[in-house]
Amino acid sequence: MISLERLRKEYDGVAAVDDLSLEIPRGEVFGLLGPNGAGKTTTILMLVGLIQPTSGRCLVDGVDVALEPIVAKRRMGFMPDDVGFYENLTAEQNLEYFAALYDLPRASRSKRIADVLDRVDLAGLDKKVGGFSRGMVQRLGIAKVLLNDPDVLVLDEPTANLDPLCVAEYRKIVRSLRDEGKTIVVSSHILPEVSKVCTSFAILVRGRLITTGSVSDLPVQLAQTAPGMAIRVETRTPLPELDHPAILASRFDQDRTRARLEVTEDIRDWLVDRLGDAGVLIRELAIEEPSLEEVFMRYYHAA
Amino acid sequence: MNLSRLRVIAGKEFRDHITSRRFILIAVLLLLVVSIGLVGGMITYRTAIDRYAGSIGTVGERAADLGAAAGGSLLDIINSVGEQILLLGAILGIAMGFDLVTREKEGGSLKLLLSHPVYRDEVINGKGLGGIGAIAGLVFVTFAIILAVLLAFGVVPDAYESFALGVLAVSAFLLIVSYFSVALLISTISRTGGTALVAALVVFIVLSSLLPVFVDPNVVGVIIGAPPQPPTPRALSPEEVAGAPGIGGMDTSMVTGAGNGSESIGIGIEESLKYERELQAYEEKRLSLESVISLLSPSLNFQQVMRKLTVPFMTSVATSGSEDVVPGEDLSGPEPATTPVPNVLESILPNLVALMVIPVLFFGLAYARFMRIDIR
Repeated sequence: MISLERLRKEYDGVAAVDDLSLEIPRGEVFGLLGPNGAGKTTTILMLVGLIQPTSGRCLVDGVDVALEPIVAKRRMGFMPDDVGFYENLTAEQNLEYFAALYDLPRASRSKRIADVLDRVDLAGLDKKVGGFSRGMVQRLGIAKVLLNDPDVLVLDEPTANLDPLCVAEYRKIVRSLRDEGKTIVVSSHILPEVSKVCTSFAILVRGRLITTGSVSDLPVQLAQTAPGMAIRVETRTPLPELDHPAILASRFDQDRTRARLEVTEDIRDWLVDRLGDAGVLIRELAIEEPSLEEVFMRYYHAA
Repeated sequence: MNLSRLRVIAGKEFRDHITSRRFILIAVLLLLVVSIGLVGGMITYRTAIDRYAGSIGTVGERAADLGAAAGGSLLDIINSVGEQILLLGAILGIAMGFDLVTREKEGGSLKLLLSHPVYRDEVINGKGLGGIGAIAGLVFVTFAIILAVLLAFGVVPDAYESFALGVLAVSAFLLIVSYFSVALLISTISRTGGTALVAALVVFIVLSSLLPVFVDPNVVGVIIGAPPQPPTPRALSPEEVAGAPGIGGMDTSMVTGAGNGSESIGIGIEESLKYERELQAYEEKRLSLESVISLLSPSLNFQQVMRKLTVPFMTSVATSGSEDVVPGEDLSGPEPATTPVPNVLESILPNLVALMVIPVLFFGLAYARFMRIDIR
C-alpha cells in the first residue's frame, strides 16, 4: 500500500532522512519509531506530500506523491504532531471547511461530518475549538483524518501530551480502524504506545533505517541472537549446579528453587534435559524477552 | 490552480477577516473618524454657505457652487477624509496581514491545511483574495457612508467631485491593499507572529514616515548635493553691456547697477544661461529622486493622488517642481471645476500605477516565498 523508495531529504547538506526504503502492506498498523531528530516527522511529511524529497520517492497505492500530490492526498488522512485547528471556529465549522476542500458534495458533507464527530464523541459541541482541551483537539484531529474516508491514515505523534484516558480512547479508535482494514502509519517515540497498537514497526536513527519487523516477533528474534539475554527458572526442588559455556552469570535465591541465568544464547532445551537428569521438577522456565524499549535502546546505541 | 478550492479558501479568509476583532475594531474606528470628520466638515461647509447666501440674498443655487463661492470646497472635505484614511488604512492593512501565515504556522493549522488536496498557490492566493475582498467591502461601506452624509446635507457632488471621490475610493483601496501585501510578505518571511509584528511596524514606519522625509527638498538636497548658486554680479565690460538686449544692450534682470559713465554691475549672459542650465539639470535630478522615492511608498503616492485631485491646478505646479501647496491655498490657475478630468488623471496616473504595482510586487514576493516555505 505504501512504498518508500530510497528516500532522502537534505537540509543544508545534512541528511535528515537518508536512503530510506520501506514497504507497508495494506491493512498494517505501522509504527515509525525513533528518538527526537531521527527523521520520523520528515519522513511522514514527505509521505503526505508536504515536503519534497531530495531524492527517492513515496508511493501510496501506486501513486507517486510528489508527482500527483492531489490524487495522493485524496487517498490519505494526515494528523500532524502539533495538530491545530482554527480556534475561532467550532469543530463542525472546521470540518466543514476541510470537507469543502475534498470537494465532498454538500449533502453528504453534513452527514459525514456528523458521523466522524460522533465517532470521536465530539458531536453536538457548539463551543469554539479555542476552548477545547488538548485531548479534544486530538480527537478532532482523528475526526478530521476520517473525513474523506481514506485508505491510508498517517498519524504523527498522536498520543504526545495526552492523558491516559485520552490515550485509551485513541487506542480504541485506532484498533477499530485497523479492523476496518485501513492502513495506518503511526510515528512515535513512545515505545509502549507503538507496541500497544502497531502490528509492525521500523526504527529510525539519525535518518537511517536501523531495523524493521513485526512488533510480536522482533524482541524474540533479538533475544535469540543478541547477547545479554536472561532465563528465569523456578523449580519445586533445589536446583543443581548449572555449568554451560553460554551461562555468563547466575543468581539463586536462598533455597535454590529460583534462579536467573544471564546467557549468551537460548539454552532452555539444555536446561530441561539437565534438570530432568537431576530429577528436579520444573515449575517455570522462561526467557526474559527484552522489552521493545530495550530493543530500541540497543539499536539506538548500536547506531 | 482549482477555482473551486480557491473560492473555498478565499471565502474562509474573508469571513475570518470581517469577523475578527482586530478588523472590526480598526474598521469601526475608521468609519467613526471618517464620519465624524465628514459631518464636522459638512456643518462648517453648510454654515459658510448659509452665511454667504444670507449676505448676498441668493436662493436656488447649487450648494456646491455656493460653497465654492463662500470660500469652502467639497474638495477640502474630500482631502480631509483622505488624510484620515491614510493612517488608519495603513494600520488596517498591516494588522490584517502581518500574522496571516505565522499564526497558522504557530497554531499548526497550516500543516493540516496543506495536507489536504490543495496546492500551495491556492492557499496563498486565497489568503490574498480573502483579504482584498474584506478591504474592498470596507472601502465600499466607507464611501457609501460618505456619499450618504453628503446627500443628507443636500450636497450633490458635481462631475469633477464625483470623479475625485471615485479616485479617492480606488486609491484608498489600493493603499490598504498595498500595506496588506507588504504585511503578508512579512508574514511569510517571519518565523513567529511576534517577529512579524515588529518587522511590520518597522516597515510601516519606513514606508509611511521615513520615506516621506526623503522627499523633503532639504533632505533631497543632502542626497544629491546643494543646488547651483546663482552667479555673483560683477563689473561688466562695455561690450557685454552693449551686446546684451534690453536697457543699453543689457537685460534688466541681469543688471544690478548700470551707471552713466561709470562701470555696469551685473551678470553676463553666458553665466546666466549656464546657471539656468545647471538649475534645470538639478531640478530634474531632484524630481527624479523624489519620484522614485515617492513611488516606493504607498502613503506618499496616496497623499500625492489626494493633493493632485483636490488641488487640481497643482498639476502644472507639480511639473515645475514645486509641490509645497496645501489644499485650499489660494493659487492662481484654472478653477477646479473647469480643470479637465483627463489632465488630472494624467497627473495622478503614475501614482495610481505605483499603488497598483506595489501590491502586485509584494504579493508576488509573498507568493514566491510561501511556495518555498518550510512547514516542518
